[in-house]
Amino acid sequence: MTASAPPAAASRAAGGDPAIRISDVGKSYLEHPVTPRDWAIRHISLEVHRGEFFVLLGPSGCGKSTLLRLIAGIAEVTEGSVMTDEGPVTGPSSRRGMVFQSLETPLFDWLTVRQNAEFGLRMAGVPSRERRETVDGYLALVGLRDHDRKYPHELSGGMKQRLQIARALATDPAMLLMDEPFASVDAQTRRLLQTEVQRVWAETGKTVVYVTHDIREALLLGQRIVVMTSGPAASIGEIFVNDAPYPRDDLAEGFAVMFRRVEDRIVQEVNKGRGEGAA
Amino acid sequence: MTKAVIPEAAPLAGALVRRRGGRRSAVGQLVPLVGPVILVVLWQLASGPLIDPFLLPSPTSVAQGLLELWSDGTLQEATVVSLGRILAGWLVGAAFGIPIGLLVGYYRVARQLIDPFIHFFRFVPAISLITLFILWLGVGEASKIGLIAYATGFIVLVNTATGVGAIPADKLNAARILGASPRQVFLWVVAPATVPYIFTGMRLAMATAFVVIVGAEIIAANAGLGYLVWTSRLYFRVDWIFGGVIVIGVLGYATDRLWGWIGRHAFGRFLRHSINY
Repeated sequence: MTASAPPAAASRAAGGDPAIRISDVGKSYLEHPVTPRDWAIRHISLEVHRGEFFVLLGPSGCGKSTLLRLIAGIAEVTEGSVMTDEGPVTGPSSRRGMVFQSLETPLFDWLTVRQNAEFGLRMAGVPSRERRETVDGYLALVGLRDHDRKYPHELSGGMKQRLQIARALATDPAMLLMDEPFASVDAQTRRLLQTEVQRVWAETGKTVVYVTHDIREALLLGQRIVVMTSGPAASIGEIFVNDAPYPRDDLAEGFAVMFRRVEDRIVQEVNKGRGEGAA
Repeated sequence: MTKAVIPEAAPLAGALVRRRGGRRSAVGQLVPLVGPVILVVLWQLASGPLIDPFLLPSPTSVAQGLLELWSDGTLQEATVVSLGRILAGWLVGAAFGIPIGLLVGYYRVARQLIDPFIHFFRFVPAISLITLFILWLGVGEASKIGLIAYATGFIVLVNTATGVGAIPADKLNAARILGASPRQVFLWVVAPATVPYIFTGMRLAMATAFVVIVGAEIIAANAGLGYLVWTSRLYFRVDWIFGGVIVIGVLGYATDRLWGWIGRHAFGRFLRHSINY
């Protein structure tokens, strides 16, 4: 198998607007945040390039999912702004597709695989014939074409996540927001799904923002990997660039070196968080 | 190529709408009868030697009494009348309870406006309103059906609203992200996702409908199973009372099974995980 070349994110980034521009964003779940402890994340500024595979990495509770939810528009920023092609994010949009971590809750269990995948198009009033053709392509892309009449409970965990991916892609979003999508599937399946996500990304050229706490996963998939500082008031710790070609080999020497660097940074954050907690 | 490397789930299709434990063996199906059979035998033995048969008529004399009521048509008429009222009132109650429950569960404003009434009236016993219902709706069928609708509607309503509240946020967010408007979310996600709670609410409401109809017929009716049980006292026919009570229980049991069957066959895809009991 030949290495599929990554979309030229760097060159695309050089010209034109970024896919997502996050400007000094803060999120507090309190009505009147006062101390830094009242903020989940704060002072985050980032640009995600068009077509880029962008990873948000960090220990649990660091607010990476919160940031993703702000981009998706299913949570509101407390301060700052998130800009996309559609302007400032004020709510959810089918231009920003999302894949959730949970295997069970995001799917519509009373609808078949096909009906789940068609949901977005149906809401948009796309005629059934057109829906069918579009969805056929995406179901084939994730290997679910032959399972289209099944109901979600008849699918394995991995298949459920692939259905979520197909469903999100069916509305042809500008980006795919993935919130630890494979954290709940077994290790074997996770490896396959990681390969598939990389392939789907390469084939569709979508911008992907991918949240994970798994360093290996982050390094296998991401072009840029943001390590967030530990919360509360979490922000950007460090951005690592991984320009290794795909598919990546996690046994390669360079991979191990990078892994160590990222891990050290995360350990540093975790320890810092502990220190603050004790103080 | 993709397919070859993907481990497929064990097909769970068989579990679709079958109840937990799967198909039971022929002997297994008889297990539920063990309890009732033992009870009837003990009852038969106790009536007479241990307890005055006037106070506790034996199963055989109850059966004879029922046969009497059957042969002159009293039992059939009472059953049809009571079941008709129960079914009509229960359906009317659900027709109000489901949509209001969905609205109250989904729209905050609807909840704020309607909640005080719900939690006031659902604690007012239907039986206490019989006189009012008769004054307003007359002594005919309308007052009984209205009473059952009142008693069952709140159960369905509260269950439905609870079901809306139990929908995982991910499911609603997924729909919104896929472009569904608030109205589309309501129709396409909230309503179908709430079906298991509606189903259970209607099941609970059915039992209440039986309770209320008998109460209503005792107080104000000239037909029906409640009326039959109540008037039997005038003839000192304790066996008829027992017979009437048994018929009510059996009818309740049968309607509950029937509702479960309807659920599995008509709403199977909505209920899959929720009709294990």
